[in-house]
Amino acid sequence: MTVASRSAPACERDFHAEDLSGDLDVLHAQLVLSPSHPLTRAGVEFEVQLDGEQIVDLVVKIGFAHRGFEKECETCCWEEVVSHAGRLNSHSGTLASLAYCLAVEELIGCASVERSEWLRVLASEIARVGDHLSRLGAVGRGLGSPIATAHALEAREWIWDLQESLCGARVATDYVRIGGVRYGLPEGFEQHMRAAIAAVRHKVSALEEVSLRNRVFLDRLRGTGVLSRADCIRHAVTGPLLRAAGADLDCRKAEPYLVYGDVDFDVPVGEYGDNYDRYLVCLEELRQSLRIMEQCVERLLRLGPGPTVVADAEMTSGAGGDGQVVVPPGESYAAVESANGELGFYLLSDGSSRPRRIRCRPPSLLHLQALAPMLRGAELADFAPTFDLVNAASSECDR
Amino acid sequence: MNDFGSPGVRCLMDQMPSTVRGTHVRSGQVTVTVAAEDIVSALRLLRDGSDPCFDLLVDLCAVDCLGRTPRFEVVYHLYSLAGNQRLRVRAMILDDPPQLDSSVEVFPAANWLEREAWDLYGIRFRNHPDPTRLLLGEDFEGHPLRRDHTIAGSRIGTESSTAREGGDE
Repeated sequence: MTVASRSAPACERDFHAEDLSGDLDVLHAQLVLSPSHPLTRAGVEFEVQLDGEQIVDLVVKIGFAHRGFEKECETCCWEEVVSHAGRLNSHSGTLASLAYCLAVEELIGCASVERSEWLRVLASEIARVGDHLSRLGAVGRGLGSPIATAHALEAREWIWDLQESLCGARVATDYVRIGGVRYGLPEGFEQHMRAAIAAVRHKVSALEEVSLRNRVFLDRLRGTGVLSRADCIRHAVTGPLLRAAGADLDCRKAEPYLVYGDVDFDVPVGEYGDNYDRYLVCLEELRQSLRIMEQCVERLLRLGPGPTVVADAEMTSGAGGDGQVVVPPGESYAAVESANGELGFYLLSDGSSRPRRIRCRPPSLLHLQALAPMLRGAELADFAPTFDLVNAASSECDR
Repeated sequence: MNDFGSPGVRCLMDQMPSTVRGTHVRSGQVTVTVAAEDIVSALRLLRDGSDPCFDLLVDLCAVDCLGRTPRFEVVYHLYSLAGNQRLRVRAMILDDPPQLDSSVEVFPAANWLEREAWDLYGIRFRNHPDPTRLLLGEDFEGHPLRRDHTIAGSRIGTESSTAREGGDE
């Protein structure tokens, strides 16, 4: 059908079957899912082009939570940035401040205390479990299963209580500091943790029961939001999303930082890179994290109480006596396996008391960028589980 | 010049000798500086021609070295899944105003990262498919991560009704 023939008024036109064989003029509906939409937990705006129920195109707009993190850091001294970094992700801020501290320690070249390394791993895994539970809970909400959400969030309560007892705060922990961690194991932590882990295991089994035997869940997760292994790599997608697509890349195994080399744990890997595999990978990772936590506490009890941070003298050598950490000139990049993927910090120091450049490599940004290829051609109903499993944190994405 | 045992650097020095401007290592992390005009072909060679190949663009960011010439540089962090190795590639930008070829055709992940570098540092990426700001509104004036842009100096356009409050929220 040519454009000219279409210009005739519709009422006067004589339709023939062959008219329908050509390209018909399709007007796509535009749907805007704004940051205040209940499905978009993070501050992100989506412009979805719809053909019926099918997503033809998707434009992702970010920046709503931009607060000049990297600019602000250039005006802080090295220690102050630790707390800023911890606010990059409200669910697992410990991991962001850890990545930053590792990059600073790389530049200083200071030794570390074994006890603090185990405590850091313990705090990292507590944060990861909390983050994964938030993600699984969100999927339940997006798919209309409040009972799945309730199980996940109830388990998270146990984890956040545990986090409070170790780090002093439920959410914004400020636990990690340059050269170590703030506190050692609190009294009675082992009993507390055993009770918490048993409760979490129980709740996660219940969650698995209500979700993986639920037809709605399976229909909405299987084969949706697919991103193949090759596409994940092209879009620099890491973490559970990449592992669900079949690549076993995990910074904790590939480049064991801290004491991850001495810990026994498995890295679950999926096959198809769809939402179902992502869901399974997160469930299993969470269980592996509980295993790591148990090993950490066992080792920490054997190590006994003692210093949890390297001596100040090692970090402030050459200082003018003001006690500030002095970082020699140079550059470094350090990354941790955060709950979302590789979270790294690239630092440039000119030897002064303030950083020259601080760059955070935010996994959420790259994962949100990959959301369009995941959802193009999918149905609108696939949006909720896909976005929830990507688990983007806008404070980390926008910085 | 030393390749510090990095197959990626070795490959660049063998196949594009004129483009390698320098190498250095700090805490075991190897950096290679390449000529800005060859950045896309260097990245493509590292992705396809190096053994092991550097197939993951971990990060791309800009740096402002105010007071030095060249002032701006763009830093690429690459990772090789097969070889479990990292490599940092640096391109010094001589052009003023600063511009560089876009690497989106080699690494699609660079799309938003280059938009961010334009947004916050004002570095133009030639042939970028969507050269718009990423984090700030289109009516924001200036590029706030430049060293000579003070936080107090941020200004927000007033014409657009959709203008977001820039800076503090």
